[in-house]
Amino acid sequence: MDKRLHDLKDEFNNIPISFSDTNRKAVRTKIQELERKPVQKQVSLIPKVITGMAISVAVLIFVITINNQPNLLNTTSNDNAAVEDSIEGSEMEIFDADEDSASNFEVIEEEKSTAQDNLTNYSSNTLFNPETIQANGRYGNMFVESVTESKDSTIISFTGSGSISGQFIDDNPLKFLPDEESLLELPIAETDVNREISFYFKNEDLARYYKNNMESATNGVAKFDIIKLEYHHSQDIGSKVYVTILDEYGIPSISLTEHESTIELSDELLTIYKQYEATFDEELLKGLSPFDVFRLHYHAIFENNLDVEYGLYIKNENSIYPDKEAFLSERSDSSTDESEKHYYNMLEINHFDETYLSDNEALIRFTLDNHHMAFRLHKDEELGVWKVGWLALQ
Amino acid sequence: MGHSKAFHPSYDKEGIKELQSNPALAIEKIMDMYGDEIKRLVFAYLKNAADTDDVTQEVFVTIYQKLNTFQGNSTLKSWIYSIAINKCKDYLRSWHARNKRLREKLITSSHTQKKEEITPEELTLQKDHSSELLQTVMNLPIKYREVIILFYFKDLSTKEISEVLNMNEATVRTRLNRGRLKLKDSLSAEKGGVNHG
Repeated sequence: MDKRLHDLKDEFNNIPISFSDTNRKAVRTKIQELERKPVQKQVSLIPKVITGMAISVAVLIFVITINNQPNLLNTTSNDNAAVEDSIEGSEMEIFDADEDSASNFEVIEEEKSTAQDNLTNYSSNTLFNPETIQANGRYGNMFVESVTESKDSTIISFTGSGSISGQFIDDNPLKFLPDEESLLELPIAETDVNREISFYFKNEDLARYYKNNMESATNGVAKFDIIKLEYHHSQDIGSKVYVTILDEYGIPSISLTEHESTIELSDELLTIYKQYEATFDEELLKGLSPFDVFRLHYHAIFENNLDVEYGLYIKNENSIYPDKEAFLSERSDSSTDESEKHYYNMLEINHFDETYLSDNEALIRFTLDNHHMAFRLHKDEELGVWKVGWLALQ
Repeated sequence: MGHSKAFHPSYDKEGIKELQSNPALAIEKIMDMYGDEIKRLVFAYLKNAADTDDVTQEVFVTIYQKLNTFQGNSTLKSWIYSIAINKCKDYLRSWHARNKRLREKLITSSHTQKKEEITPEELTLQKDHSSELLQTVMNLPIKYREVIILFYFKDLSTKEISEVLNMNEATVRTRLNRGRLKLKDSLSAEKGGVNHG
């Protein structure tokens, strides 16, 4: 096939196409027309003038505020001085690097000094005593969910919303070195301040997915939102922290299936669509994946077939959905131009991730105009088919 | 008929500055050098001769407008290709193109005499068995068609294609592979179809 394609080049170049004199003239004419329209440029001055005026007013307000409150700046600098004093009186090692890892050691040394600069914030909010910590306590943005004792460690489970950034350092198991900013935000045992803490991932598959796909684009620095943190505190063997990270859609699991295709229906799916359109027989949807149903939904929008679109929505007692009359009335008021435009934008996308949140809930995730979107589907357990969630697109 | 590289001189920083200092002259040179090539590329995307003229003209107008923003980070050829490809994609997703496609679908399905409107370019794609593979290439989905055309017919490397299409080089390679497989499948399916018929 490779050779045949190479050989095809001449044939392609022999398609009788030439950029004729008429084409050239047309280009020249269009360029001349463009250059005859300089007047429009004057319009662009207006926003500049408005911006200039707005900045002037803002500066004026700032100057007046400072004049009325002469102590404002002094107070801030005193605060900074207090922070510096407390930093000088403390010394902390967040991690001791493995001796066999010289490159890591350099990174850690840099981070140590930076972390020290922020020590005041660190110690005030997020340090906990593993002996006395209790459920429901708050450390930074994380809450203590439970405290349990195991054979060789105390396991403290935190939930909440935080973030962690840093670098992957070991591969098996996947180990992470958080940077100083993250450490200041995360709950840390007081007794671990001068010791090494190893960070791992509870959902390692997702972390590994990011490691493999994103590292080169971010100079090795990865940043994740986290929802859970499990702190295995041990004086003897060193503490370990397991974080549960979220992906960019706020989901703590890896995509199960990647679809390298557009939303256009395959012939097979088109046949199913036509049969469903004619009969609304739910049996036809059996065996279809969430991504298939997602594509049927968009095809119904493209066809402007409100009956099929409504038919594909999930309608059971646990879900919220409008009755058909309300749906039809709402959709007939909305612009078909907009939905068609949306459909055509969707047609440009050729990569979709299908993620199962549970056995009966799935997301189709994609990127549209640089926005991460997620489309939710639910399994109708009675019918045994995937259906579109009401207001599915987020 | 050779496809000489001398037709596509690469411009160094000085050469680019010279082009940028006189856009009117530059666009003439660029039309001389790339006119046929870009028009053929546009046709490969649009598969429609009438629209190809309009879009190709727009490409050169845009090149004229943006010439002074060309930094020389890629080759002039890659830069021009990326403008052409973006114009084609803009056009394909435009309302005008969509309506036209729908109209064509309606015309085809109502069996009106579409053949009379076929242009020589389109006819070439339909005429004989030697074009079977080319027709199959042209019928591939755009994401496979474009990488096949750029790689095999336009001699761009996968790295250049990744720059022109603004995508990862690994994706380009994947699409090339899948495109080749799709071609194989389509050709064998067609042959199977003929035998059965």
